[in-house]
Amino acid sequence: MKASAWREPSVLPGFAPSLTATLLWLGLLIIAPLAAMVATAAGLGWGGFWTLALRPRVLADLSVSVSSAIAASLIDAVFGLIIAWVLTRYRFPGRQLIDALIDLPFALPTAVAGIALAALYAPQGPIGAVLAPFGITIAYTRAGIVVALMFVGLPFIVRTLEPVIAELEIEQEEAAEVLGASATTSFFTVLLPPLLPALLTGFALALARALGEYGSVIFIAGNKPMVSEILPLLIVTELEQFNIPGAVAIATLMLAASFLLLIGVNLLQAWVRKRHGA
Amino acid sequence: MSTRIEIAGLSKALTGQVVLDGIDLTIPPGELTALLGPSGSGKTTLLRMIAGLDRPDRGTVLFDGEDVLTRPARERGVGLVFQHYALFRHMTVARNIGFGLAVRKAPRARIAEKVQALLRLVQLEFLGGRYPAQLSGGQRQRVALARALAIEPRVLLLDEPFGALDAVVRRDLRRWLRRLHREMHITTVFVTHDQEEAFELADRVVVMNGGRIRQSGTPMQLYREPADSFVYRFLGETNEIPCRIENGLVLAEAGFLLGRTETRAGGGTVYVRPHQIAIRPDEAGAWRITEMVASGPASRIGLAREGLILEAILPAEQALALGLGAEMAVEVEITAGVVIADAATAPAPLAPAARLARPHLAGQEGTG
Amino acid sequence: MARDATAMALPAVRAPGLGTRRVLIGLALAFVAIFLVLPLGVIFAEAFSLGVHAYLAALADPDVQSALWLTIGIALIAVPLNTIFGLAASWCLAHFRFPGRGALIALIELPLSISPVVAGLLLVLLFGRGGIFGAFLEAHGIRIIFAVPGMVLATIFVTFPFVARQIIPLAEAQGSEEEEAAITLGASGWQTFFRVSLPKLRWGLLYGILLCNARAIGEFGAVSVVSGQVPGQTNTLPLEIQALYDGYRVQAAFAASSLLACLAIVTLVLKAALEWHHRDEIRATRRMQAG
Repeated sequence: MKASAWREPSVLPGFAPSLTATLLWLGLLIIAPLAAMVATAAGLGWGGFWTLALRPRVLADLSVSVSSAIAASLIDAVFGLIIAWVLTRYRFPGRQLIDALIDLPFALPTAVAGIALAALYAPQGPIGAVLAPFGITIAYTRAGIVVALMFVGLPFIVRTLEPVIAELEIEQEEAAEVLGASATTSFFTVLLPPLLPALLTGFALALARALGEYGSVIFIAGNKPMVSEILPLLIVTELEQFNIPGAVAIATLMLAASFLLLIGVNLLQAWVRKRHGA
Repeated sequence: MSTRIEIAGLSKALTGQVVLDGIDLTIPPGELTALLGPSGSGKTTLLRMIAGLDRPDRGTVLFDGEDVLTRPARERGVGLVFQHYALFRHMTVARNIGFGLAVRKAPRARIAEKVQALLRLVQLEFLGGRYPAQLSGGQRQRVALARALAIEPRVLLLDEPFGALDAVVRRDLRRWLRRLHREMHITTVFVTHDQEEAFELADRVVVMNGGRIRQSGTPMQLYREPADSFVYRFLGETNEIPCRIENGLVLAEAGFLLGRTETRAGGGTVYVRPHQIAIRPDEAGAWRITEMVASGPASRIGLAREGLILEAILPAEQALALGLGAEMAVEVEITAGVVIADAATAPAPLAPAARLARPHLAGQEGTG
Repeated sequence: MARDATAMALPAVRAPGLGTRRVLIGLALAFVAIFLVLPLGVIFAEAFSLGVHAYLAALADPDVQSALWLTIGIALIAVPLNTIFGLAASWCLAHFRFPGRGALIALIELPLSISPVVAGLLLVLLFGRGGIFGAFLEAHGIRIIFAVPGMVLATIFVTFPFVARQIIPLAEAQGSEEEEAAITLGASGWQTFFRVSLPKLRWGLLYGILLCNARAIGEFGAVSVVSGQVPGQTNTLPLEIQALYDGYRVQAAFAASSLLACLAIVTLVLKAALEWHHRDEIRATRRMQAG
């Protein structure tokens, strides 16, 4: 039990073996594959990479992916806020059932969600049939992509907001009311500001998930190149055609996007911690 | 089964910060010793080193002459009671107490027997099946103690044993622990930042600050002969009066007489406890009562004279009998205290100026 | 007096509040019904659309059966491995302070923000033909990509943060004092781990395993990239569902889906039960819980 100089000593044994196991597992599973990716991407060369990454189909699919993910996450943010508010602040029959259901998108395999949504929103499906007379088609269009991404993103918003809403003091709202603020004013001036960081965090998490989502989307999207095809699907298509460099270029773009989002979330949370104390 | 603990030259630095600086300390067998000091004084680190949870950079720890630093904590045979008890939350009280025996693969029957005996000892006979979360703070504390005693430790160590308890429970437990120690006679060291607790419980008090031992002795020794200003300050409320000494007379900066001392001349500081100040109403008195606050059995009285402000404490009845009140003119005498001359480090006793006749005195000689 | 004032003011202030409350609850219920309940319902409706007989026949299909067993087999490998990894990681990250600790935690969470398809691609780059170890594997006749080993690896990659991120914050919040107490009482390292640390974490651990298992069973994107998608051989249940659906055997696809939907419901029920009974332990980590 020799105290090593580079860590704070502890009487508990097992540091070296547990750290070794952790590093080995991480090295094999995360670092090696990522290194392979970086090596392959670097092998494309600067010019080669951008030629592959800026192909019209990639750009079109990128815009489909990004715009649908943003639209879905925005809708989720609005309804997620309402749901989180209702679940933490109000007591009504069935509340716990709904609370449990919120995690359904985490628990339900994405492929299952995908075909269920496709069946619902297909022109002859229960929802599709209702909308069809109004000339609204959702399945096999970009709207379908948004619906699928809304499904997978919702729990991120609700679960990030719930603990923050629970910590908000009711007195603040009551104080605002007593001071004569209208419901709308007190919502925007008293309620929203403290929730904003959590809302943004939840939005970023939902967005990150939506950008990478595959299983639930491909069944309901039309998968028409340049129109209703998402980037992950394009990677799969490239792989099926053994165009590994093309797939790597797209994957690099996506990895960069998710890293940026991750860093954004971490900065946001560090900022919140600094401002409101641990 | 009493063990003598000998500690020599124990030092430790963490990330450049000195935590312990050359601790020398001998704890005689069977004695109850308090490590007393403010937070960050190194007292808990010293306790954890005796237990084997922290390692010193230098120095030795001997149990009955045997070097225990080479022994890991689990073989050291110390019973440690953690500040927040560290009871195993997923085990019943009985299994918590029996843990030390169970990991030594003791026979079940013997564990059960021992656990019952310890539950009786800590007066929790009927709570063996409860979980720690279902107990009160005082009960948890006793379970932690029983768990530590189950392994028949050579040394019993307690980290702030009463820190997390409320005042009444704390007082009862203190007396109970004192009795228990008298019966078991096991060498015991406990850490506290509360001087009252240290004085009431311990045979010997070790005052620590800045990773060093400032003074070690019986409670009476410490109180009567504090080694330095830190110890004096730490052992109770105190008035500090800058002074100068001329021919054995101790004078306040404004020039009036405070008392007498052996030192001949020079600057220094007088340390006086609030109850070592006597007050007598006197319309011609040079002192003025600035404020008076009655807090239960005692009255706190603020006194001022020529820029000097003192705080005195009198029994409430006495203050009432003397008819003291704010803005009143009074005469004041310092009945006891110490002087620490700038040239010296050791304090010298301060004798009363004896200008006031004794029978009129309202205060009393402060010996605690 | 103050109380009187509030009591009198209350009805006036609260009246519009009640209306808002109804509207908000109504909106929430409607959204949940349309976006969560309906999809769940439609799975069972479609599965039984041709009657119970057709439903059972679809489940008895040998390809569905073999997909089911492959799915269970992969989960049985991935979940225990990730549990052991999670425990090792929580031991060194919660009980010790060392440089690089924060980076390690970030690395553990990384797979959560990587698209499953990209995860699959990473494995192809390592082990696929033309990949870094491709030539070596081919020379030794080992097949990872388009075979079961690759699917196991992909599942492990995607699910490995689930247990670790659940128990690391919990172990951290619980601190090391109980372990230290065990050591001073004479317990060895393993005794401390099995008798103190593991039981301390048990509910959080179970929660993590539950989430890990749900994701392992349902993983689609990563597995689909590295699977050969040969029915009866390298199709997991989610892949088989895709094959059936694309083959216009919609009712069969939903019959197979109903199995996974049942598993999801069981997961949610257990999760709610765990959250209800062990709120305090799980709350510590719930904020960041998302998958």
